[in-house]
Amino acid sequence: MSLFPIPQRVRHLVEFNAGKCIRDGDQLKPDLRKGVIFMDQGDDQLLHFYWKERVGNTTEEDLIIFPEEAEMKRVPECTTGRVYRLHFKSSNQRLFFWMQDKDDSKDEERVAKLNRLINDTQSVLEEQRRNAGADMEEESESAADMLNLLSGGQDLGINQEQFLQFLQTAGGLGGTIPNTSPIGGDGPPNQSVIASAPSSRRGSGQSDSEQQQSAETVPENEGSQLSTNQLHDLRNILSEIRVPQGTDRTNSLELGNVLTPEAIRSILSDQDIASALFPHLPETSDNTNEELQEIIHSPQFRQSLHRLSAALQSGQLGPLMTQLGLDPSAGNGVEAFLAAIEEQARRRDDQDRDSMDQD
Amino acid sequence: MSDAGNWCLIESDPGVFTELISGMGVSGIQVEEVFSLDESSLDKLKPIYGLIFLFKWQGAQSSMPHPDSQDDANDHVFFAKQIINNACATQAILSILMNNSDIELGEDLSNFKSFTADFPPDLKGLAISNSDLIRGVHNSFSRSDPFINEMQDSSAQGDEDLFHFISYVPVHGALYELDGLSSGPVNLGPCNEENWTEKANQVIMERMRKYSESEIHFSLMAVTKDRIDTLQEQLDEFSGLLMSLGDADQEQRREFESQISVLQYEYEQEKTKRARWKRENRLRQHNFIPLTYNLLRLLAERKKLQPLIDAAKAKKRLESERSDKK
Repeated sequence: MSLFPIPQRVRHLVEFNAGKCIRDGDQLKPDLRKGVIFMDQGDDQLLHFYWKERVGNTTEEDLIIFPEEAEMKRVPECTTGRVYRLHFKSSNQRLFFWMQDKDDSKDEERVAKLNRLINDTQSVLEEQRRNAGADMEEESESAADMLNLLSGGQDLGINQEQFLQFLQTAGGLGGTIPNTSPIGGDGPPNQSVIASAPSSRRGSGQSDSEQQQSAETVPENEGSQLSTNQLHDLRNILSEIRVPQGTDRTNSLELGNVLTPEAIRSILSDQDIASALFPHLPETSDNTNEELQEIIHSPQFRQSLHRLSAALQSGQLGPLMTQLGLDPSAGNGVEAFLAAIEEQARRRDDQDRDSMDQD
Repeated sequence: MSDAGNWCLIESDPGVFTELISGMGVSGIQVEEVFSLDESSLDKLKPIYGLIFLFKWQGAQSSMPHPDSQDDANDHVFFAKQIINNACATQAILSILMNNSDIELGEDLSNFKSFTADFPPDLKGLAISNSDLIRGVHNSFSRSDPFINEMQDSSAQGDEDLFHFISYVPVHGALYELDGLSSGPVNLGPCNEENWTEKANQVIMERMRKYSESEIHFSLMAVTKDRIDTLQEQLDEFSGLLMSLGDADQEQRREFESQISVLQYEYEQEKTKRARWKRENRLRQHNFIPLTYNLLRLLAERKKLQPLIDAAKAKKRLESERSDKK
């Protein structure tokens, strides 16, 4: 019996050692556990992105990625230069990873391969079949080299011995599973990723004969009736695309959060408010309270709130703000917009009061 | 403000598509959603000019062409390559309209069709993306504020841009699959007026079977003759038959009358639905910014805005705390 169990080597479409990064307030901190990113085509024929924790061999992330839906790019603001961001164009979700292989010369190559896999799955699959048994990277690291690499010339304040100790305990750090919710905003992480714990490989006796080409069989769904339920649900086509993991979560306030249906319903019962809003309804509408309620609760109105919120977040609506009698800076996000409206109302209030005093 | 080349994202809704088609000058056509692939559901919608299958795109996967497919399809099949992503719905619709000689295209589209007749697929696609008429009608169903229109913020729309449209249309005795992202039309084999929908269904089901493990939404739409017209014709026909009956044919009379009342019911239903579509389209095209701004302003003046903002922030904080704990 071997003291160093040699794991079964299954060939993935792309695979490399990497750790996750956790968001801590505004900053990005590394999850110190040793991990691996790999991608495979699932039984559902779709491309899956996985992150596995290497010591316990547990897969913690499993995301489906559609062609051109996501892209992995280096984060230049990180001074060690080995932090990468996986960005989902569809949901704006961002996941951050740091490279754990000692040799950084292959970082770009691996990421390029990953991106190519995302955009052109078929050609990579073919290549895979052709290159059966291609070389496997050796990943032996030495603590000293790694320390040098990671410190980037800075004094980390720990010596090599301490670092080694740290490595040995690093694998044992269980702890809570970090939250992979998206990082709000596009700002660079404020903290450079130091003290990234590299993996010290034990039992690196992995011979080529261990490699196996994973056969991607396509299981036929025998006897599966195609459910007509799959054709239902028309109204929700656009809004309800459920990618199994990685839900979209905006951190910023939206107009729809403030103007909730319940809040609006009670507000519109005030006849003065309702009547004041009639002129702004579509021309073909009846100017009645029922019509107003219906329109404000319509999906089209809710969607326009959503779009306006997004447009405000982009900060480009200065000219529109001027049109509304607000300062252009009101276009710097939903909160700025709302604050400007508050301010405008306050000023009007003061003006009214002043003019009353003069009587 | 010119939005040259700027195509907005529009909603995949039969009401939108129906008005889009008439907006381009085509008469007597509507789009109807199909909920079931069985023949009896489709029968009710006939005559059907083409089917549009809408799904989440996963790489270019053309169906396998039928062994007898010919390569000269481009001569008699209108096929345009898709140049602009946001235009895919309109393009799928056009590929059905242009391939049906029964359809009255109206002056503008007829001119467009003859103008582009000899163009190769990519040039046809380019012509579509440059057409002021087509783009104009298309964009009228999207964001209605000029300031927001200028910002092509695709990320704000979430997942909509990942949907893909493929058309199935019978042309000259063969069923074709028209996918703007493929290199050409795919001949799926011979068919006739009666059986082409069944053939198309099989191909569509094949595609859906591949995705049946994951939660992907599909939709199917049929481009049909305007149902109001069809129902009106049927009503007229039965009225005529009724008048031609003698007094003695009481049983026959009753039968015709019951048919007529069924048709009248469907007619009313259809009218109601069209009114609803029209209303929804008006709302889609309406600029809601004045309404939104004034609502917020009125709230602020009555000191009711800040409480709402505070409540919204508190709720968000609660939600993020909850998910951070997971």
